[in-house]
Order: sequence, then C-alpha cells, then structure tokens
Amino acid sequence: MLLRASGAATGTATEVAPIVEPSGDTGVSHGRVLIELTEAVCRRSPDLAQVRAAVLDAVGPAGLVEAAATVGIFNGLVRVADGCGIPLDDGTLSISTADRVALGLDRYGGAANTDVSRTVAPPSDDSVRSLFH
Amino acid sequence: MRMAGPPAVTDPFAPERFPVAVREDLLEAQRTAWDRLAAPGAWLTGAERHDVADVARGADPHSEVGRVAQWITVSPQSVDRGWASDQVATLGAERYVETVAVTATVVAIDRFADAIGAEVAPLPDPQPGTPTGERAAEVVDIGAHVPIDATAQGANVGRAMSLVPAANRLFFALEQRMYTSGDEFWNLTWDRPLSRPQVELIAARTSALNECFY
Repeated sequence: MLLRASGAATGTATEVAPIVEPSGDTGVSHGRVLIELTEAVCRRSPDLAQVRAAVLDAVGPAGLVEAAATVGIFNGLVRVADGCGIPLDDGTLSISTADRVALGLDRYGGAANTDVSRTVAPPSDDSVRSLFH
Repeated sequence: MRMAGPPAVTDPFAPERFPVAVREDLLEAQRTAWDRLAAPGAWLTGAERHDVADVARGADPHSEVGRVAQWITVSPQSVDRGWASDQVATLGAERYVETVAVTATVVAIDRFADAIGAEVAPLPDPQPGTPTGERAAEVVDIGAHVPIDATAQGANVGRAMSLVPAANRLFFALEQRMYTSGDEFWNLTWDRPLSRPQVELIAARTSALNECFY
C-alpha cells in the first residue's frame, strides 16, 4: 500500500505486480537492482556481492545503507507480524482489496489472521495515517 | 621484527567493520540492541535470550523457546493460530512474545550485515540476572495470537509485542533507525538517500518473499 501511495505522492507511476512476480518495470528508479538486492539477501544468494556492487553503482554508499537497513528491518517486521498473528489494520484492509486479489496475497497463510470478507468503511482521507486505524 | 598489527576491534558495530560509511545513529541502534540481546529480559533469562539469538542465526534448538525461534526464523508464514496457541500454552504469552522480539531483532541486524557486505556480529555472552516480569497492565484481544497492551496506539504491527513493553522496545527502537523515525513515517516524499517509493519497493518485495500478508 505504501509503495502505491508514495508513488502517487512523488509523481511516480508505480506498478505493483512485480512485487510478487518480478518481471517488468515497477516504475521506481533503480527498482530492478533494488529488487535483486532484496532477493539476494532473502535467498542468501551467492550472487549477493555482485548485486551489492550494482546497487552501490546505482544509488551510492548512502543509498546502499538505506537499502540494507530496509531489507534487514523488514525481515524482522514480517516475523513480528506473522509470529504475533496480527490482523490488517482496518484502513489497509479497506483499500487493499483489489491489489490483494490481483497479486494473490489472500492465499498467504497470514491472511487467516484477518477476516478479509469483512466490509470496512474506506479511510476518511488519503493520508498514510488513515491506513493504520 | 614482527610489526604490531592494528588493535583488535571489540565493538562489532564499529564503523571500520563496514565496507561503506554507515550513519552513527544506525550503528548505535544496532549496538544498543545487540548489547541487550543476551541480558536478562522481562520474561527470559540472558541464557535463554542467547539461545534464541543463536537459533535465529541457524543453531539447532535445545529448548522450547529455541524451537519457537527456529520456526519463526525459518518459516514465519506458516505460523498459524493452532501452532501459536500451542506455543503460548506451553511458554506463556509473555515468553512467546519475547522470543519473537529477540528472533526478529537478530534477523534484522544479520540481514543488514549481509546486505551491506559486513561480517555478522558475534553474539554477546549471556548475562546473569533475573527477568523483570514486566508486562502490560491491561490487555485486549485484537484477534492476534497474543494479547496486546490496551493502551498501545498506532499500526497493529507496532503494538504486536506490546504485551511485553521491553520486547516491543527492543525491536522498535531498531526499527526507528532502520526504517522510519517518528513522524517521518507519515511523509511519503521524504528527502533521503533512497526515495520513499524505493524504500517501499524493498519493503514490499521482502514481505512478498516471506509471504507475509500483513
């Protein structure tokens, strides 16, 4: 949700399908190499050094630090979310239906923690805050 | 004549251990979390937390908390209500939550090291002492596997471990430096080395690779 929302806010036409099945362009600057880094870290790939060098070339050392921090902390966050079995926040549930269906996210095991059939009023505005209530 | 080498680096988060310059606030957050890893927590001893951390980086489990740590490390997407209920019944919700927090903290710091091309930090030695027994005074059921602090506000993930405030702080103090800090979370157009869409792209792909619904 925040990828789509931040894309809209920054005037970046983002395509979310490659999040699940990486092919095609996400519309995000240097998106391809950032996805490759994410995959190499999560899969403990032997290509990691090569991918890391490509990220360094693309976004510089400070960008590599940000990328590394993001992939690191989200590997923790997914374990917090699924380990504790939290449901989706209502705001996110209400606006994510189309993307969840299109991307097949409702088949993930953690979907059982949320009643996805529940009708929730859409957020009162399009701010990020409204997604997490 | 043998020349003296450089002094041994004892701080696993010293800047020289990283191949590129890392923000000091980020290093300090990781250093602080690491120092607390093997100290007594609220519900786990230092030795238990050390075991959890060891399992989170691949060691075989030898205890109930170790087995929970292994499952959450290796296959978080397969944690379902039945399995979690069994673990909570065995450990108690507080020890379960603290196990999740220590596991997630180690995974986050280790994957950062991998991504940036640094050696993972050696685990600190277990510290003696007694867990504090701290827990939230009032809890509510939001449909999660564990109860949460009735006074906790914000996104569900941010209060997921609020049953044990120290466990929540352990992980989310780190999150504040590795992702977004304070009101920065609400800013979709921030001016940082990576744009918000670039950061969210990595976040979303990480979640998808872990098959995380949340």
